[in-house]
Amino acid sequence: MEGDATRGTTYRIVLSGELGDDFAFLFGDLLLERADGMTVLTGRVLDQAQLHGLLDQAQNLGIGLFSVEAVAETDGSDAKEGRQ
Amino acid sequence: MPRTQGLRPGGHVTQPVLIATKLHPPDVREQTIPRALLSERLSEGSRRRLTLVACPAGYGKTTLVAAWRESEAARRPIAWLTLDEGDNDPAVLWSYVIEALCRACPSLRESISPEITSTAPITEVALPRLVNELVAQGEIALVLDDFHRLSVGPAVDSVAWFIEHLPSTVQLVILTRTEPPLRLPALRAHGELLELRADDLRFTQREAGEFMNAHLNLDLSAEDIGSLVERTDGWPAGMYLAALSLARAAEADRGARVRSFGASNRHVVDYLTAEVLEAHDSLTQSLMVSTSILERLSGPLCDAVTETKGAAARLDALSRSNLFLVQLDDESDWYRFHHLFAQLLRVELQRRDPDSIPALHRRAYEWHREHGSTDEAIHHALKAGAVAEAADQVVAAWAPYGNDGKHFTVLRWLRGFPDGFMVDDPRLRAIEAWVLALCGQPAEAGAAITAIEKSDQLGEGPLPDGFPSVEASLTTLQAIFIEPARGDVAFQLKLALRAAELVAPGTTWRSAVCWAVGWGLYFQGRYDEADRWFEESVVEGSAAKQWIAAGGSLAYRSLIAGLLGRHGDQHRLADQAARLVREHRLEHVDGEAPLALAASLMARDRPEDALSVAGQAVDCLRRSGQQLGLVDALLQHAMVLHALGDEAGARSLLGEARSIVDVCKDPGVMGLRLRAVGFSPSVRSSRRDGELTDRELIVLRLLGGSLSERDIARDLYLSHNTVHSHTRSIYRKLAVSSRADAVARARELGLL
Repeated sequence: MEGDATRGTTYRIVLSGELGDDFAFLFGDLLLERADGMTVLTGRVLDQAQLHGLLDQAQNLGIGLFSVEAVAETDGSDAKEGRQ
Repeated sequence: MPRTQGLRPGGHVTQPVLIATKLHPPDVREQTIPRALLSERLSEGSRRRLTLVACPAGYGKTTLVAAWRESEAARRPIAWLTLDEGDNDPAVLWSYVIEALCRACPSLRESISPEITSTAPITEVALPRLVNELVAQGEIALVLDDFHRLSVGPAVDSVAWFIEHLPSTVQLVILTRTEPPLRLPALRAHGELLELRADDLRFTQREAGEFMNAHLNLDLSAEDIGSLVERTDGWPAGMYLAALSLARAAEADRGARVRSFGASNRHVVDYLTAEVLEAHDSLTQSLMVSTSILERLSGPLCDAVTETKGAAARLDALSRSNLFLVQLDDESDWYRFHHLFAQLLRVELQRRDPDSIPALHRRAYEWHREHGSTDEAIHHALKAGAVAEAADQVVAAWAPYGNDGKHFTVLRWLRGFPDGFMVDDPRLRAIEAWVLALCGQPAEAGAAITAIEKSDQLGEGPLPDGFPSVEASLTTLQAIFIEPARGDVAFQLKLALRAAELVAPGTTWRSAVCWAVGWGLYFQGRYDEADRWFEESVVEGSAAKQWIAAGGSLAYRSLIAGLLGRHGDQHRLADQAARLVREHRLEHVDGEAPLALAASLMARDRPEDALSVAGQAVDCLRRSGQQLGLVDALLQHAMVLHALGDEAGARSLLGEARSIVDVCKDPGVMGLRLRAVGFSPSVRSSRRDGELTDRELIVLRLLGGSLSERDIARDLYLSHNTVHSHTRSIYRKLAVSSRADAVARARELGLL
């Protein structure tokens, strides 16, 4: 993503099941970590279109989506919270 | 004239063809288990409007419905279509659906053909036709697989329309990973929806046992089966991956493997992919991983991409022994990976050799460019970063795709280019303008043209689609589509004449350009000049097979003949135009031929016959966005209604016509012609400069008789001076200098 630290929103996406680091590239610049049988993806997402693209990657793998959360506000105007 | 037609740029451009593999119903594989209860439920779905199978990847949707199809096909025809992103273009989608239905129901071919989507508007004409024809066919089912590959847009909307209007004899079965926006809550509420979801397709203990032991010959204990079911949650793809992994192990070790798998937290796909791949020799592995970038695989294509030989045999072997490689036709030419597996292979490709990916795409592009489909060639070129080559492909192929009604496809190609690229390529931007106009967005097209002109970067040189230059292309586009939609005749004529300078006789686009000039002159009331241009258009159009231009021009020639009182020619030309339109199946795109026919029938005093044709003209021209053509048609239709005694109907049409004319910057003579019609609309109309006043019209009518000006004055209780000044004003407005000329001109304009 661009180095512009003020654009986009930071999201935390949790997937059911642990994925190895080899899968990280599917999720762009998000950080991929594992915890308690889940995969946690964290990072800045530019906009809704990009967010849905990332969620599609999970769907393409047949991996369950556990939760999607915005965890930080940037310019305050469009931070949204969405839990699945 | 909403569409162009008839281009055949030289060389090896692939015409849009139907891809047979999309229409091939998947075979039932012996490794898969029968699921009788689910099949029964699918059959019960015939009583409801929509049957939906909605689950994530790997639940066995396709397998289930393919098996159902095999047994059910004995009772009724079942059509199959596998969707992909290309079907987001409604013209593409419905040409495939119609072909699928025709293959299942051959008698349907006598009444409808997939080509209807190239010439008829989808929801207004093609779909209602299809629905009507289906009613006559009896029980039939249509399966649409991979529906999630359509995104929100006109294609999905057209499917929603189709669902609403389905005859009760048609069962629509949709397989998808995501719930589509097809008004499902309403269907559910009315009991019109049958759904099978993940929980329905999960393997039970019994099914898992049957699958692993009876079909895949693993001989696992019930305990082990149970453990696998729990670990994968009954996910069929997960179970299959586990089976492939376990098959590699010695029987004695399988139990241990199941246990360690059960103890791991790793997601099934991560745990097992490496295992599954390692079951194959390294050449086969390399083949699978490298070809994961392809949508569909064939022996020759894979050989080209991997730069080896012998792919065909490997693919054949793989497809027989595995479920993850699916055969797409009966001849064993084409295959594809199960989408889930393809995704896993791509992860593996990224892990093993990420730098090779652009080169793989480039080889795929080169193969498709020579042997395959333009659509896939462009896709791979863009992925390879070969943006300039992709642009060349688009420039060479857009016209045949556009001619076939597949404008949305071209738009999708353009949207695939990197953001900055299009700005620098005037050819692509010109195509974008054309496609936006063809997609029914003349305002956006106009904006695109303005942007191009501002950038001052038009480029030089002839284009593969037949235009001598980008400037010629844009000027023609404006003259044909954009200006007629804006309603400024003088400006349109100027552009059309400029286009005529740039596009020489004997070239592909000449007839369309001549039509545009004729159009402008016609709406300026310069009928003799217009007629000469339309005549050239007919000759050029017939030679270049540009039937829309030729047909439209014949129609205008007929209208002109009628206005000039040459009724013999009028009727002959109207019939010729109608015949040409019918012969080339342009009934739905050409509004001018029915208009000419209506005028011709009215001149022969047959308003009852003229009625439906006039209505047709209005409908068609309304859809085309061509303002003044529509006014012409509304006027004609109004006159027909008036002749049949429907004054209210006539007035309403005239009101609509008047409201269009009022907002046109320069409606040419249409304002005048409207006002001259004997009955005035009850709409407050602002008279334009240069139009005759009511008084002047009355004087003009009297000038058509034999009274002297003095006598006219006496008749009207006016002074001679007043009449004289009216007369001078009339001459000025009609651009004539004698009474005789004024009368002749007035007759031309339909005022007398």
